[in-house]
Amino acid sequence: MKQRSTFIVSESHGTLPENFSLKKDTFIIKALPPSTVREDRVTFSLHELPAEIQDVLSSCREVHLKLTSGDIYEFIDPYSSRTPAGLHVFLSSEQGASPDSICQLLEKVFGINNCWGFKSSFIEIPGGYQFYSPLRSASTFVQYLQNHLSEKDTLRRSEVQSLESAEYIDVIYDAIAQTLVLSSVHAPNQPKWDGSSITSAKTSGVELGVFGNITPMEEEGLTLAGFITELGESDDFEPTMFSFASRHHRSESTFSLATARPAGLHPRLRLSIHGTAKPPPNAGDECTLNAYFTLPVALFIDKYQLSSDNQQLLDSLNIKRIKAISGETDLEAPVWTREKWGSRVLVEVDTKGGENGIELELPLHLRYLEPRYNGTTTKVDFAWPSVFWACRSEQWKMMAVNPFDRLHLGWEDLFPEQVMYYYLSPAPHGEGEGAWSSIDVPVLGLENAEMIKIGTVTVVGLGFLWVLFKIFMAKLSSVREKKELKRE
Amino acid sequence: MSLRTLLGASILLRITLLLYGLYQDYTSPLKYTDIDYYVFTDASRYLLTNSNNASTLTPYSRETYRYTPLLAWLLLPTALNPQFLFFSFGKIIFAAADVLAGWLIYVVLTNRGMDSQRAGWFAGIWLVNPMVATISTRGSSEGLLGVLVVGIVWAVLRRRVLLAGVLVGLATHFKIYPVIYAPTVVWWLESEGSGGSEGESGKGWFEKAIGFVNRERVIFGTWALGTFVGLNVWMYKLYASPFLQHTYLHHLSRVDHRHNFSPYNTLLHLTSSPMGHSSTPFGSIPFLPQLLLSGLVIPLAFAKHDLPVTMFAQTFAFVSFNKVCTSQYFMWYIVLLPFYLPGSVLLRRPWLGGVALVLWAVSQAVWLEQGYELEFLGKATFVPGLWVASLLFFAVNVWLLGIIVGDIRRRGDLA
Repeated sequence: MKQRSTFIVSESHGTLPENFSLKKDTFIIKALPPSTVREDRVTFSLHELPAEIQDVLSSCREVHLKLTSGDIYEFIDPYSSRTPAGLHVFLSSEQGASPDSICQLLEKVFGINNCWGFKSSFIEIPGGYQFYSPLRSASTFVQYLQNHLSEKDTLRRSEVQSLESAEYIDVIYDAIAQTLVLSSVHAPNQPKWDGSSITSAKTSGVELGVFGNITPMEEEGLTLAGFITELGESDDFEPTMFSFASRHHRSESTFSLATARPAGLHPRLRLSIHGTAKPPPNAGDECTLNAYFTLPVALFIDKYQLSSDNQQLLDSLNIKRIKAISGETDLEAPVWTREKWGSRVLVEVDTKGGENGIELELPLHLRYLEPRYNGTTTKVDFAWPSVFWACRSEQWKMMAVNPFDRLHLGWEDLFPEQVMYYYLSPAPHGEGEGAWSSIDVPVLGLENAEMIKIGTVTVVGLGFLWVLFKIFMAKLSSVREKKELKRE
Repeated sequence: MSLRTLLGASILLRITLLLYGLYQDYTSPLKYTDIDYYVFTDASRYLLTNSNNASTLTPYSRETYRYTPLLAWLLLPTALNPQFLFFSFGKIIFAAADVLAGWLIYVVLTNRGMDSQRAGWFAGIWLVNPMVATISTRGSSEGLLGVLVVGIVWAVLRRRVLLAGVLVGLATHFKIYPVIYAPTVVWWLESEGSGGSEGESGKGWFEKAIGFVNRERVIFGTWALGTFVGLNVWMYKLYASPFLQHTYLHHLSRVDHRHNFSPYNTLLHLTSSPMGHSSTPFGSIPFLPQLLLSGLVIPLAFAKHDLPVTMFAQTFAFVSFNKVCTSQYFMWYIVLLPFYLPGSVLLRRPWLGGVALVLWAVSQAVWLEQGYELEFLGKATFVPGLWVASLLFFAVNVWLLGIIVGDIRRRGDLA
């Protein structure tokens, strides 16, 4: 096991050595600016993992799992990439193998309930498979990890506990390296790190770095300056400065998502881009503004309705085009006949006339949800999209050397490799909900089941008998008439 | 109304609606064109792409294309460029089929002895019906079915049995439900002279059975079955299982869980879900009363008396007892209504006709209002709202069906 902890401070005084102290194998934070972002990255060897995880991983080549809280936070380069809130899993399997028990594992580790089986619930995307669950909390995950730690290991337990407040957690498995990397990123000021410490255990090394962003030495690049140290190995801070090309950047713009009310069975999502919708400066001319949605199976978009043949409609919605839809796209089936998690949708925003912001509308449709007891509506949660500029870049080859690079966010296969992303921040109107929305969906109440069956059968049965009776009477009277005719 | 005025008015109405549709489609994001029309035309385009690229696109590559490939072939010109010129080709075909059906209604009525003025008025129920004209100019293919069905009536009454057989086979290939007309036509085509019960009473069952088989029945049956099977074998050879699945099997296994006018709708919504699952086969029970009435009892009871009116009653029963029902299904019986209405009790007693019309419209409006609250306001009106409304609409239909079947033999003089 190895650990790497990184602090990115936005104020220049944050990186001063006097803010910290180093005692043998313990690093103590005395004071940090509240705007500090912290990343902890722990690398496990495969054999250090529980057997059930090893078992699933043995049929995988690569696994990328991302759990995003959806909380609203200010982000700092190089931690500026954003996936929609919830749990995303991308995996590629070993040739001929399929991780069939992955759903049981995900259910146990994360507490999700929409994974029915690898083959039935994952969707196929170029280069692998994708799964998503609108999971809001890491608490089951934290519980699972704590179950594997001894009661006495209070230090590790509190580190694990802190995962619950992370903005996002990434788990990356690589079959070639035989390692699993668990990383978590905490946003500024949440929690405050002052007074806390990082200690290296006997079995693991800890690398530490404290950096600030300084004026980039190259366009499209980032330059970090600060110090690094390795606990137990060195007893001093080693000043450092390095530059790298980063795939992910922050954009100054913000966005919000609302649902037109009443939503009915055809909810319309309104994506508002606040302020001027212009490509980021220095990003070149070849930029597109995109919104990437992961829609739960209850919601879908009609690709025919939004096809480029229907330019009129697309124009009126401020959609340039629907770049991709994959996953569960059936246009009429109810939820209970579907096993896939839902669909991913990449929408290119029409930025024409975007000087004073843009309002994009995405028309969705609802599947019928299962009839249920208690109440005639049920909530469908869905995450806000990731909204970003994608700009062509000449430096893409250098991005691979970025020690903070983040891959497999869900849409990379829909863009060329030589692209840089500039992320807009979600800015909700109200408090508390974060980058999540929900809509109330009408459902059929199961309390009425018996009444519906008996009532329908009775009414149709009576109607049937009534018609038969009328036909019988008509025949009867015609037979009588004929007899009378004969008598005459 | 004179035929010339009537046809003129109906063509003008359709041209106006077509042009208005073009205008609305061009200017508004809310399309006049029916969604199904995009399905048909996409399917045609896939066919064309297919022949260019030798890829494997078929009409069934278009999701929700659940029709015979003949329809996609018929609409092939809609895939040509420039689109603004060719896209509406299918609508023109449908609207023309509509007008042709109306003209045939008129012909059938006058052939039966109705004076042309009166026949014009009754054909007008179809020809200048705004609902009919709107549905076909929006690009719904029901008009094609309309002309096939009235064509069957015309052909049978003119004793063009072979043609009638081909039309029944073709119509059934197109939409399955016209199969219910086959027993009616067969029953109607009795040997001349053997009509009535006189002389038959003394015969044993064997003579009766032999007597049942006559030349016309054999010709009709052979051509109906031959056309149906021939077309299906042909299509199956071209498109294999997707054709079978989407054109036929889908309709047998489909669970129409989404709200529609059918009395079974809420029940099927409930029992198709795992939580509401029932061991009673509610998915197949509905076929029983529906097919008994429309395919057996009504034809046997009335076909020999009056073919077109029997077909109207059958269709009315079929649609009322169907597992799924939308307003397009009403077209199936409206096209036959001009044969029943003259001399019917609904006109003999205008107040009854008035009440029937009002009840039919009001119960539909009640359902539509509940449907609107669900669809657009998101209110859970499944029960009691939509459920009761669909049962109410069913009750009105069944009451009307009772009146119609009780009336077939009492209808007054046509002229």
